[in-house]
Amino acid sequence: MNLRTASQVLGVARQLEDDAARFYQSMSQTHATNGELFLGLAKQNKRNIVLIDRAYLSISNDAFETGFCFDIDIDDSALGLEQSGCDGYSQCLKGAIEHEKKAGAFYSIAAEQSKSLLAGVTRTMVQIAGTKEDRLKTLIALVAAGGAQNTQGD
Amino acid sequence: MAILDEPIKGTLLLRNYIGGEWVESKGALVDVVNPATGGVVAKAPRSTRDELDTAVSAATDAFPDWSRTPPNTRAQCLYRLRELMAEHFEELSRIQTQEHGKTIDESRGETRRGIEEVEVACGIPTLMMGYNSEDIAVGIDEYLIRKPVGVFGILPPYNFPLMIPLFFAPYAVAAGNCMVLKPSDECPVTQTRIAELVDEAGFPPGVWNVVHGGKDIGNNMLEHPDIAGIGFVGSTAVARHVYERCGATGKRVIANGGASNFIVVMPDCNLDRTIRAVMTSFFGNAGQRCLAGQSLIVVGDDEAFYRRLLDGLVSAASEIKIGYGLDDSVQMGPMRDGKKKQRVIGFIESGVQEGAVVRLDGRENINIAGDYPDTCFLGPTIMENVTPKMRIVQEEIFGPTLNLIRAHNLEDAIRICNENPFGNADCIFTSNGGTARQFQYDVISGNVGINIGIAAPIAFFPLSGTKNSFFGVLHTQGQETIRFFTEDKVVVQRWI
Repeated sequence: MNLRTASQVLGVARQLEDDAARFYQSMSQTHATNGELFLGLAKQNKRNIVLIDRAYLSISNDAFETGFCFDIDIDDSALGLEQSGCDGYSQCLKGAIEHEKKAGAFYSIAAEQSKSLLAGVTRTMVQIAGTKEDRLKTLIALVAAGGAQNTQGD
Repeated sequence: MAILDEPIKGTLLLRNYIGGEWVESKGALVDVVNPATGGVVAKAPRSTRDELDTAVSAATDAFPDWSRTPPNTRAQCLYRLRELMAEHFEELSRIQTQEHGKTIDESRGETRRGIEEVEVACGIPTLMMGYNSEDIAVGIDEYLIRKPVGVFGILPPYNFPLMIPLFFAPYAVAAGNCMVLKPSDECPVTQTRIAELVDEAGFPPGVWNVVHGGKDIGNNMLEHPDIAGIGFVGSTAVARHVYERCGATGKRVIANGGASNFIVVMPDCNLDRTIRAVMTSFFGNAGQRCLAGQSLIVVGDDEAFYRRLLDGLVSAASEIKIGYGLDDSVQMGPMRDGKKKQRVIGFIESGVQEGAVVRLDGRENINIAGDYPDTCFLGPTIMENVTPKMRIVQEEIFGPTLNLIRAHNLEDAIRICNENPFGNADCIFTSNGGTARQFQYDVISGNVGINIGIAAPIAFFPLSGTKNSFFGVLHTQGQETIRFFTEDKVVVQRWI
């Protein structure tokens, strides 16, 4: 899919955050040991949606280059993140890591392309990309810690 | 590709909003057509003179109470209107796309700007303050009070059906006046929906009235003895007519006219960013905006730079995705109607006849995303070898066209801008501060952009304009428009 307009890019961003929020919420229920951590990640995703919407409205103006700013190719299949699609705690985490890497890369490209034309959006994209980096470290550490502890149905 | 859900389902029958009531007009009905799909989204009446008179009477009757309402209390209605507009943000945006054709990004931008106008008008308690001096002579004080005037008429154009009426209406009522708005008969649905929100916001009956109609109603408003002033945006020919009639009938007036705007590109500009900004300036809203670029002046004799710029413009413009604006991947919607499309084609042909060379032809092989009739769609057109005296530079095109003009130096470019009969918006792209300052200083234009493709002032600055682009003294938006909507009363006071 080729993204050209601000509403497309921000629509993808919202979907990334929404999918991730539901995934981590689900993980918090099925993997109680790290339940609080996963809930925290889900909350952060929901906050990101608010940030994205606010950034869009702050630059959304009859004059700015919302329609001509972007040229991003993304793989449609990279957008989804569902717990039902993975087998086992470790696999779910690895799936999440891949998703977060792709999301981080998406935000970085979007930030670069919108720089100086849609500065409010750029700032938000950079901020969210930063949280993905922190998140990757957390997820990688969880994988390294290994195994499911007191999980259900794993 | 997914089309966003259309809020207008079927064909709406629009009514007038007079004295706080929805009234069905006796006038003939005219179709409001979605230019992308060809579907009829509404039927709007050509109201009668009597119906206009009723609206003006309702406004006149409401004026004494409303004008004596404290400004902070008046602002509460506007705060509520602002909240309602924010709550219905997406619906209002999609309605604009359905009736006008602009993309959803453009519509949302317009909704945001309209909300901003209401937000600024909420500041009326401060905006309307007067001033005073103690002891102008011993024991004598003098002070100035700003008073509301009466009933105003608002005559907006089709190209920004939500925003432009709000350049005037919220300020007029915030200042204690009452008003009658005649929306564009081409795009009347948005303001009808806004009037529903006004009603819900709790404005007293008669403060905000909407009467649908065509130019007859507009002319009636210019002649109406009980209308104290007019706010107008449209073509220069009509703006001049409005200005003259208001002068003859003693009305105050803001009359924004047309434009033929220049974007000056210096060889030291950031080329990539300039090209992207130029795309939105020339082709955003399908070129149907008074702040759109119409001619691009390339400064200097550097052929390599000129080629890179031209190639970049043609490449970027030829990739613009055209289609129905409710598809959020679409970057440019249709012209408002087939007649406007043909008018733009006429200009392109005139340019060719006068010696311009078409480098990108938007008249042919228009690639429309989705299965829509091509009645109103036009692709971006780029012409080079354009000279300043050509008709395509001297007159307003109002469509997705870009004229390329060469100038040897900045002074030459500024001279070209200044010799044009219009003076709405001129912009420069440069990385040199001194160049920018010289341009800003010397260009005769109401609105100036520096590394900005559309020099649209935000709501708390006036939308300026000069030469054939504006008739009047005070401009719309922000503090300046409060001066338009109020009269000064100066009091000299002594207590013995």
